[in-house]
Amino acid sequence: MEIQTKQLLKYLIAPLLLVATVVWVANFQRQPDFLMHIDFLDVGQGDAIFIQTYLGNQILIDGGPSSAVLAELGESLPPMDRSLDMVILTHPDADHITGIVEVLRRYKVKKVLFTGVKVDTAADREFERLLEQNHTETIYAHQGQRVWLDQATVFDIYWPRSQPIEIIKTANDTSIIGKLSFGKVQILLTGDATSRVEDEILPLFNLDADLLKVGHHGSKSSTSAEWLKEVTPDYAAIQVGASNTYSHPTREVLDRLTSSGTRIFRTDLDGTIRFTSDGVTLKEID
Amino acid sequence: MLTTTPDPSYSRRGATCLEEGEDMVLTKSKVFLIGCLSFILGVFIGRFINSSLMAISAMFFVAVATIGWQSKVVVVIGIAGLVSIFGAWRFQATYSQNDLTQFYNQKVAGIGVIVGEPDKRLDKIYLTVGQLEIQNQNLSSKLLLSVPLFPEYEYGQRIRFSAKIQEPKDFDGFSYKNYLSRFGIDAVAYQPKIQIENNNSGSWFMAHLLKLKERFVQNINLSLPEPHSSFMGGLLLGAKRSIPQKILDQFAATGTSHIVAISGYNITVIAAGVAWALQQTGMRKRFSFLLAVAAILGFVFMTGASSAVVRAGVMGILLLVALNIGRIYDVNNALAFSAMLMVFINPQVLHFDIGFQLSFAALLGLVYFTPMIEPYFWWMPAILRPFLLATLSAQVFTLPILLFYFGQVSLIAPIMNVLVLLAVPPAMFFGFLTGLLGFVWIKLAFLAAAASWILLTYILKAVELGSRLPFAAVNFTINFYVVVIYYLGLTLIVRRHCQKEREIWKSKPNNF
Repeated sequence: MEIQTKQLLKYLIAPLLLVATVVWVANFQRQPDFLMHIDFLDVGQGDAIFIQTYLGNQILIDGGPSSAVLAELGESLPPMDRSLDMVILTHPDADHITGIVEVLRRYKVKKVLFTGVKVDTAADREFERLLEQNHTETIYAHQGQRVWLDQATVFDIYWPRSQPIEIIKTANDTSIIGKLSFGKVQILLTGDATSRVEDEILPLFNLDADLLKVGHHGSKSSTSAEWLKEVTPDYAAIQVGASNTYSHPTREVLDRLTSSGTRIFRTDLDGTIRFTSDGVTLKEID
Repeated sequence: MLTTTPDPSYSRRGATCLEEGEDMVLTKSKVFLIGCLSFILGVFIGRFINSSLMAISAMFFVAVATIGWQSKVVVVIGIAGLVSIFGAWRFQATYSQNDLTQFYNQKVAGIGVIVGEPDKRLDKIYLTVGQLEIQNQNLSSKLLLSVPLFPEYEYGQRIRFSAKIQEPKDFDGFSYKNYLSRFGIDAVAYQPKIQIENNNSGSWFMAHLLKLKERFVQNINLSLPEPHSSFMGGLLLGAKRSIPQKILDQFAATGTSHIVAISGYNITVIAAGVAWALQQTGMRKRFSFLLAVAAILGFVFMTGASSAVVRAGVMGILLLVALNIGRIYDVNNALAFSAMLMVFINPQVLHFDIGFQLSFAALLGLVYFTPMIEPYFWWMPAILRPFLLATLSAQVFTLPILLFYFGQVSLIAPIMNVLVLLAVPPAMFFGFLTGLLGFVWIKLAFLAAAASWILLTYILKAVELGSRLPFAAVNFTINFYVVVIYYLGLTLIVRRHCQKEREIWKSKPNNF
């Protein structure tokens, strides 16, 4: 009898206690810390940005070119959290959509915000198939739309204009551009759009921001001097792979940023870049 | 706690030695052992000699055996020589079988079948394509295609492809060509154009096995975040390909890589777990052992029965036999025979498969060296002792191979292994449970996953911290001759120890 009790304790109770601890820790960590988190994930040559709003809603913008985003997400999310409140796909090029497909397979994604632009690649088809299969709520992004990420966080969409969206040469210029605002802190997100799009947006919106996600991995065809004059960012985040074949980020863009006094962070040099904000100030954390 | 390899009850210390027959007498089992070893030696030499030398020495050995037919020793030497030459021939016959050379650096169109499970990496997928037909020639070599993550392909699909066929390039002193050649792959092609012809050109059985495995892995992927899920895949199935390189490097620096490679170790843990669970139900030891062996066989098939897994299964069974069955009959012969068999089936593993070399060396260490050093570790807590003993023995026996190929050795490996291996069996247990429960209800799997998450996090954190220690790993390379001398030295030490054991055994009057 006594031995049986001991065995029970050892092989049933102990593991269950373990499980309980996990659930408890996970729940504890889930409690939002009332700060907004913005993590520019190090996924190589491609974009992937994770945002946790101050009330704890979790959003992933783009997924990078590989499954590397999964390990990064595992680190940014609380342990054992298997859901995301929203996934935003700026445009369906491989270096943005590929990781998203794996994310849709493994995480419960509540809503997907995207442009609806089709590029007819295998990854894009799989993306559409998964949305249909999981009955995911989809939202088509268009200029002037305001997406409430929680009671105090909004994402204002500046681009693309409206349906249907035409692809001119590449899907880059169909990228979702928008401003994320939490209290006084503003972050400008740009996808891969070139200066052609930047020029169109310039006269329409107040672009001033504290943090700029530099367009198209620091390619010289984006992030013009005029653009920077309007945005006047304190910080700039560039998502690039180490020694990539496109030689991103270009010297031109780096020079433009430096001359406007912006502090530059790069995923190829700094790894994943993490910012937090209390709605008043924005802080980079190591 | 689950007990793991090796079973802590080392009551039959030195048993391996006692089974040996009397010295200098050529018993049947000795002749058998010599035969097996000669074959392996032959395969080894096969890489360095040419066919005319082989022919001359064959004649020489035939002559020796004929002239000295009255002496058993001489005949055995003659036959052993012939077996060696057969081994050398077998190696050369498989090594030069490359009919893709004619297409190197050409853009060709062809048809083939995906003959293995697609090897999914973080950013690409490798497809092994066999049953090739290029320019109306049926080829026996296989081709490795590197394709993007999407679209996805499956085992057994017949595909029409066009691609530039290339010779596998060597880099950093690592022969990619030799590495691939042991899988029968003799060429690679990047970014091919592919069109699917049909979906069912593979074996029906294999296709379903792989489907089942995929579902199992999917259950784990749905329940655990990365990198935990990849790590669990590595622990359970040896599918380490999608673990981030950063973490693989940390495992290497702490000398714990073996836990995520498919090896006899993982398999033995599973088998030991099964045996333990059965013994809890009051089953007799011998019977539970047989079921454990059955579990290994089941596992081998479940993971797709690739050659690495089959090898690991054979080693796992050998280790179980060597360590868990009361008396040991001819461990030497069992080891030599299985090594011979594996080398016979694919002679290239002996030269080009570092995994084979490492696991076999580690196995030898576990069988021969562990009993030797065990008396010196009586002071360790019984629960930790087997882990340290196993690690030390494996370390001592694999050291030259590690230094020769990788030029790196982990100084903290013994400590790290003790720390980490303790958590591996329960983590594997909960991971296995996760995969199984996922078939029932994914929320149920989540509970088991939560338990394994803690254990995996512990292992990952320990390895990460360990790898950051100064002098965790040192770089040091040795040449081939040092390797040979090292192993000769080890053989002498083990032999001397055996002789001593035997004398002690004989000198005690009340043995039997």
